[in-house]
Amino acid sequence: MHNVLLIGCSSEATKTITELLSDTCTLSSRTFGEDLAPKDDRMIILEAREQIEKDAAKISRVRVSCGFRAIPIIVIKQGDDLATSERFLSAGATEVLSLDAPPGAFRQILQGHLIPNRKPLEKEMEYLKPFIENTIAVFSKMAFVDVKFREVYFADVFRIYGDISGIIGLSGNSEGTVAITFYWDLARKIIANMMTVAEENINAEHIHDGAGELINMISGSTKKIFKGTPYHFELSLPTVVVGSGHQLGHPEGSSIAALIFEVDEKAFVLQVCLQPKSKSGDSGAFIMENDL
Amino acid sequence: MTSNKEILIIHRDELFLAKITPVLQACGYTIHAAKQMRNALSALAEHPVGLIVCDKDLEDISGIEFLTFIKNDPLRESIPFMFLVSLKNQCRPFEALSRGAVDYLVYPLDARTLVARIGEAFRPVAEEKSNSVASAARPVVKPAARATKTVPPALTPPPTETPPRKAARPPAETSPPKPDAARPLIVEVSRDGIIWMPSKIKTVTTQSIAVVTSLFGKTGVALMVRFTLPDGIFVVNGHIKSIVFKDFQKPADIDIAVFEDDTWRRIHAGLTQGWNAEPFAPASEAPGAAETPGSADIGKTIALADILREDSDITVTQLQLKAGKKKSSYDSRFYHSLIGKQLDNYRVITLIGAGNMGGVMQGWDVALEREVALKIISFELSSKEEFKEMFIREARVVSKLNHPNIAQIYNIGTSNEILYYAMEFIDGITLKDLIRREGRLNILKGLAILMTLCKALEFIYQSGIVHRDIKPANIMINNAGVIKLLDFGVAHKKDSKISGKNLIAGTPLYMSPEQISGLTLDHRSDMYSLGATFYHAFCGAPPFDAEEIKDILGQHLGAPIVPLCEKDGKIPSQLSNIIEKMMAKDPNHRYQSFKEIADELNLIRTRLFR
Repeated sequence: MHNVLLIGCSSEATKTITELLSDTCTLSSRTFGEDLAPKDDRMIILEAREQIEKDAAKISRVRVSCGFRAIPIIVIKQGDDLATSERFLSAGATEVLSLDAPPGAFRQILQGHLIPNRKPLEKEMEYLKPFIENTIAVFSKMAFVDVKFREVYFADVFRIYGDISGIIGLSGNSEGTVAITFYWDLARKIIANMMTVAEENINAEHIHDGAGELINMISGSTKKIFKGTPYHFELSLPTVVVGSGHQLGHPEGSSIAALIFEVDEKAFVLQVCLQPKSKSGDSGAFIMENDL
Repeated sequence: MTSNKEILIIHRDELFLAKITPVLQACGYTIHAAKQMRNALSALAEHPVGLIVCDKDLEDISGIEFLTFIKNDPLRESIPFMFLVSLKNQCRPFEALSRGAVDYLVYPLDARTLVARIGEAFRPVAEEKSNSVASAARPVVKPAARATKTVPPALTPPPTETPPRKAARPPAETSPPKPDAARPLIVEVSRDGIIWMPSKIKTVTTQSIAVVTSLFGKTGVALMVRFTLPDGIFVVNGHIKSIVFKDFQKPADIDIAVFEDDTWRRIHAGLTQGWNAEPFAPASEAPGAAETPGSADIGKTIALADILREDSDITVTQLQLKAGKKKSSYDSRFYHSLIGKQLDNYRVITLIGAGNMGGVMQGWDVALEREVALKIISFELSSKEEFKEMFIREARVVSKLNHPNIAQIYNIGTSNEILYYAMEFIDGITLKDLIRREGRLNILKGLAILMTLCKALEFIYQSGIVHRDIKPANIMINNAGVIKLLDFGVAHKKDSKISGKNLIAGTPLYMSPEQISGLTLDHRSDMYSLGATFYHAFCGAPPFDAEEIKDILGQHLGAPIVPLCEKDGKIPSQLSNIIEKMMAKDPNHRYQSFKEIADELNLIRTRLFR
């Protein structure tokens, strides 16, 4: 049985969800404003009942409370206005569903999201381990904090939720992107340590330099380890982005590994999308004589 | 400088996309295609799109909703939006215009009109821009003005209505901008030239440009500013003069000092005085565009009839099940919810394609470490026992067919209430795509594929199974050149009488007369469909063509086929005769086994090799 947390759901929505999921899930309810941090919940369902921006703010808060874990946030609402849905998705929702949706579809989509995100294969860990080790080392050396690696999962969308991200493009044998994302409170602490300034004195320049330097160092130290392997890459300049909900492009079919770390129980995430260049040629068809 | 005219075309119909893309590419456009809002947004995030061409319905949202979304997005609102509507739906164009579309086109489309109007679509936006700098960033599309510029929905204007050919524009670098001809402008900033963040211009001076963007920086940091115009991409180098942010959830204001070079001078002049008055050359005027093979046929190839016919390229059973875009939207969202997840031993990698029966995902078998294709039943069908049974039956039927030209089933299972089966992953191309790519198949290549399929179908026949849905889309050629027959979703045991909803199952373009009539089927029905498939492959058009499915079915029942050798003089008459015999209306007048066909084909092949 999966634990599903309902937040701010009306009795009608609760009834609908209970009918759909009670045989496979244990449901619990909270009103918005209580402690939002999910414990062993596999999914959060939130009902959007107010103005778009108010609901989006709620979704953002719930997303923050998940600490970058792969907990799907399903927003349910009246009607099927997908333009509004996109706003909710950028705020942190995983899926937006209408209460008018056919029950079969509703249930099936929820069941799909309840399946845990996949974990890396052993061979995928080959290229993820250096990133993990170097992240821990860089934080220790640069920001004087102990970082604990918590978990890794694969995502299908390279979407950045968080207050501040350092992103670096990769090219060469492998191409892709690596991004580190923090919420502001942890970013401030880390950057203050790095720059040896008090948190309240941090300015835009500190933020830019700190986030850029962190991703640069993590990627740079990992690059050295990959020399001579198919994963070897070259680094571009770090880009720092503020705000939530950015979606980055990534190669079709490639996996995005989300590596979650903790500093004093506050999480940050390193997203790694690394794809060695394919050596396979044209997929054009030709007929082999031995097929006849 | 590279020419860069990028168009995003959003349409559910792959055939439409496949037909329209080469025509526009021949006119110098770079085409990005999407079927869904989420794909479209990804394309917009990744590419400097200068025009959106959108069908009335996407897989997950209506075209009007998508248009509304784009026009409410401050960073994308200035991208011109062209709407495609059907002749039957006369209300949509006006609604689209009132919501911000610059133009609309009505099916069926004519090649010249299409490319001319696409070329012109940039102008309304431009003409509404003022010459001031602020205009580059303010909303530039206003419904009232747009409506006056919209060409009436003429279906197929005669060629004389196409604007006359104009002299090719000189290279952008040497063509100083002229006033009053601004262009749609996409502005992005980047530190590294790889990751580009959208921006909005606030102000501009001769030495600087101020933008609003989520990209963060600090004073002195080098920054590139990319301007995407219909005639190219221009990158200006600079550095951050100042940065102001008030809220970390909102983009910052960045003032960028730019290096004054020719590019900047051109951009600056364009922003402040207006762009080169020389309009963006209508695509129809691109050298050779009118003579492009695809463009000559476009009125036909993307006509309403074709849209309907593409619908007919699914089984009739499926057509009966088609429940509109909402269903496909939910299906799509369901399939996407599985990406990155694991069903038993199979990790779901990506969505390959989806039909009304189910979706096919690329997967990875964790235990055996190999690629697989995962066929997953759609949510609607999974709730109906008869369809679950049909799905399971398909897996069972195929699992019994152990043949190198039949995609193998590895496993069937239910995980988290999701019914799926894992099968051989085939990386290659369907015959449908091959025909689309090559127009018509080379005779030797076609003969080789046909002979292989005859052998596979002989095996299927000997196994007592009738496929019932032989068509180009169900024939695949992998990267090693091995042919695979797919999709036994409507296959049946030979001689079984079918009833109820399965009375007519198959694909109208390739269905046998007895299949249409709901009679008992045997391997000769597959033979007819194979003949129709290769008729299409060899001459580039299906044997029967009509606007309505019922008319196509009627022709299968009663109309004689035009011999292949009359359609194309290069096709040997012996081959033409074989296809004709395969497609005899009366099964008794066809070959009685696939082996007979293979033997005769072998003779032709031997002769051709001499």
